Amino acid sequence: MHKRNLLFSAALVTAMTFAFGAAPALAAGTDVPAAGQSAKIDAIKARGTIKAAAIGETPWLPENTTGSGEQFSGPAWVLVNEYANRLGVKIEIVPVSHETKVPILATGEADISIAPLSVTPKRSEVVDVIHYSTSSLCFFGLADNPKIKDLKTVDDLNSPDLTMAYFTGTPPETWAPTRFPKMVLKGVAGSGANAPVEEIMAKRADVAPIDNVAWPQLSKQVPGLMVFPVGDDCLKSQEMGTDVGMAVDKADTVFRDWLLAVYGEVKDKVSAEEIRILKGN
Amino acid sequence: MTISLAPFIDSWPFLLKAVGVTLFISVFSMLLGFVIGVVVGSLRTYGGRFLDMTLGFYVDTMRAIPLLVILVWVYFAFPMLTGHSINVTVAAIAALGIHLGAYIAETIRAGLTSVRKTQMSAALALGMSRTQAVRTIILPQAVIRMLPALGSLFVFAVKDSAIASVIAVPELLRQTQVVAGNTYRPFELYTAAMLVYFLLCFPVARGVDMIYKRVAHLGSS
Repeated sequence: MHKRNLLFSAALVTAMTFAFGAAPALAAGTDVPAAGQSAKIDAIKARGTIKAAAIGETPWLPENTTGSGEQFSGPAWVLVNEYANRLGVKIEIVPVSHETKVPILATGEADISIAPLSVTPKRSEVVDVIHYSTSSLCFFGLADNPKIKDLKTVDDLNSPDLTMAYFTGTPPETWAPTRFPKMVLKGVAGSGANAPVEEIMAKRADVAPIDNVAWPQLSKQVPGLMVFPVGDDCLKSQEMGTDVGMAVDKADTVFRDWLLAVYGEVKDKVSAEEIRILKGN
Repeated sequence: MTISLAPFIDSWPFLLKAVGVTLFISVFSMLLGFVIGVVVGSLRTYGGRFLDMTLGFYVDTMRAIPLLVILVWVYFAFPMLTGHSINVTVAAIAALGIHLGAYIAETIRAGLTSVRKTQMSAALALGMSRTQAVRTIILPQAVIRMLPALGSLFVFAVKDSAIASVIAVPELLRQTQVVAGNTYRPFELYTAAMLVYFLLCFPVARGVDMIYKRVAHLGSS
């Protein structure tokens, strides 16, 4: 009994030693890397600003259009503010469009692209992503469109009689031809919205994809629409389920690792902000 | 279709600031274009054959390449070439100004060459230098003749500023897109943007016409 207690105590002490020994190593992941370890961080600190490419997109980075207050909100904004605070720098917003939110990193005009980005294999080849959310697609159209009003499932949309509009440069551009090989697909220039609503309202397309988290707001703002998967099933959609995150250039892995470590520490705060936006608070 | 004014009530300061940015880009690109145009136009007219041909290449190039392509190149490719970062607004003003400069240069050249050559001969015969002759005799008449064309070009500067939305300059069209994206009210917002552009451009066009009607007789020779 005495020997067993001794062994137990020794095991406990050993475990505690390892835990406390490892803790500094873990904490070091979120410490700002020392000068010389990351060229990107050194440049950011020397400049005094972190250049963040941004375009508003609800619910991850809604843009404030009231004319006063912070320019953005949402989980991406909370996260980039966390990065800026830890680096002791200000945020410099570099406005981008959906077509340029990834290429901007290659030009060096931005340190990080906080524009919400769906992670696709093609994008992962050119940038590293700090993902903080997930999304899937729903497909909406006019409820009184005779071509879709009697359809029941997403599979029913795969018809040569139907036209789907999508924004060029977005993931549906490469995904939709494999999911809907029979459908007529039409790429349109990004309008700043989450989905090409104008194409549907102008009846130039029958359906358009939208992030499932954005559908509740669209359905409130624009009456007369229907969605596939039908009704509340849209929120459980598994169509093109992807991670959503912010992108950095692949060149600086120390910078990337630090960003990931910081996100790991504050992910509850980031998630809480997304829930707040989705609830409309 | 229901019409809603809610987007304007909530976002009018945001959109008003965008109108300010549109005017800022238009005015400064016009100023830059005017400076470039006067220098290039004058040198092409009075600078001799070599300058005429060299600067003619700039004019022809700018007139042959779409403004959108120039804008995208200035913002994306130029910093990679020079290693210097460039702000979106500066890029827009530079691209618009350089593009407009070519058209203004041709307007200036047309104005200068429209004044009869005998006027220059007479000025020189009276003992004036070329510079004095251009400044006191040729230019006052030429400027009046250039007014309608220059007025049109200023209207172009305002309209072309909308193209800067492609590189996400926060001007009127881009910010209208942002609000339309948030509110899903494209009809109301884009109609309003169209009206605002009309209200910006129409007075300029009419104003220049009115000025020209008053002073046109001074430009005849």
